[in-house]
Amino acid sequence: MRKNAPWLQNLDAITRFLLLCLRGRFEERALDEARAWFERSLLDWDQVAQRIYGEALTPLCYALLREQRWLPQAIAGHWHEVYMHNAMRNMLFLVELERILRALDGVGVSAIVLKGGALMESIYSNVAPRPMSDLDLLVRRKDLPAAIKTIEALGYAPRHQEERPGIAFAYENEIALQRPGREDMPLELHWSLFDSPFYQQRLSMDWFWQTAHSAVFEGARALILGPEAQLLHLSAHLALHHHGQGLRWSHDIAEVVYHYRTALDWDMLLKQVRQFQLILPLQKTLPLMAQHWGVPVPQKTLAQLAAFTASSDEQRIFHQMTAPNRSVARRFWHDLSAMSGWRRRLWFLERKLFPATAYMRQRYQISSAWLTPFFYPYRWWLGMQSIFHKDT
Amino acid sequence: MTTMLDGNQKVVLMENTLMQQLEYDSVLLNLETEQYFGLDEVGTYMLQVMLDAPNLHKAYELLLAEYEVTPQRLEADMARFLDELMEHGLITVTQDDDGAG
Repeated sequence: MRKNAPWLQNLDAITRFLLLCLRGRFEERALDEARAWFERSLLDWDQVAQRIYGEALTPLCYALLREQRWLPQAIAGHWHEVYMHNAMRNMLFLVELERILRALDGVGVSAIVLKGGALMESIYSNVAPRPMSDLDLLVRRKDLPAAIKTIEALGYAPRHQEERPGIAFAYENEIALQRPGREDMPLELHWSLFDSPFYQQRLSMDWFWQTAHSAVFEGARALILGPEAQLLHLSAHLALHHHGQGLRWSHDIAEVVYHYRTALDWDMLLKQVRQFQLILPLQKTLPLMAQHWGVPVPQKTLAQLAAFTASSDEQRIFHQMTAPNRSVARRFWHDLSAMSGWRRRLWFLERKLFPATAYMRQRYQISSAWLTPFFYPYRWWLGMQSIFHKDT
Repeated sequence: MTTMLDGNQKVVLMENTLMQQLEYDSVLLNLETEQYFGLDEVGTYMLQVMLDAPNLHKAYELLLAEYEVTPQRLEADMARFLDELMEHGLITVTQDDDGAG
């Protein structure tokens, strides 16, 4: 038995156990260590199962532990059901993905499959272990109108009404769509990768497209991000959108590092990290890959990354995006301050303060049209009130 | 009540059925109803043999050679298995045109 690495000391007992289990994907003896730790720390299976369920890791843990005799039968039986249900759900996602990709290909729109769909194709040989909550596709901004029209023709509709038509294209990085059915099919159509005007204006998507790899989804042609771009995207996504929390997301990154361990061009990654001003997300994420997950990240890369200094702009944006419980008002202010140019800011301000009446009626469930004007001051009041909401 | 097996019939997946092999087991998904049916390792193997074989008689012979089971027991198990999958609208049987077997 290896002596516990220092990183274990800082984690709670269940997190240590889960990390050791998940490391079983990369090193066999990790499962023996997981079992030893479980017994030594007197963990309770119900608590562990609850945490695993909360982290959406049940199918993956089942795939890893199903052959371990120390997994209680009752837990294994329940996890097996979740595992099979997840397989079914992912099969539906892949069938739908194929339908969408073929339709987009038919109108000459190229798409990059992101996150779960891409990991399923490139890393997991089995559809069951990794849960997917939606499909994520990246298209070029110029292709957005054709892409949306094509996807809407397949039965999809926006999940949220825009405050004013076109505001999402101008200020967001994605649009959320959904096709209703027995199993709802959520789809996020991206044209940029991070939810901040700062990155939408500065992140050149050319590199992501130029380094993308071709992939086949159930017979339909598409692209997935190249290894460095995938690592960059998932790491920044974890840090900026999930505040660095969630074993499922960090496990994805560990899978990418492990899967592409001989192919990753670390120098290229570092170059792009600096160029895109994504130093802080990578400084948070990459050392953990080596420490917690035991996947191979070169020491030289970690040292170089640690020596980078983020610009004051990046530090400000990182702090804003990772602040917990951001109020509506603060988010609004952060977006406004991250924009370049007064004209652009005024346009944003006007549309946020005076949304279309159709939006107002849906958003505030206004029963009579004549009441709508009174809800504008109400909207501003709610926004003002949230200023006093403390960002903890 | 189980179906009497006709050795000249061939098992095929219904057009709207998707079969996905997992690590050990497999999932059969009816795309129309979005209902799924899980098969364990043995069930997955049995169905794969039946789908690959030119007819049920050949599948029966292959499975009989593979498993330590009496012919009567295997025939009953195959009939029950096929009944269940047909009830869920996942497979159907067609006549083997070659009549082999």
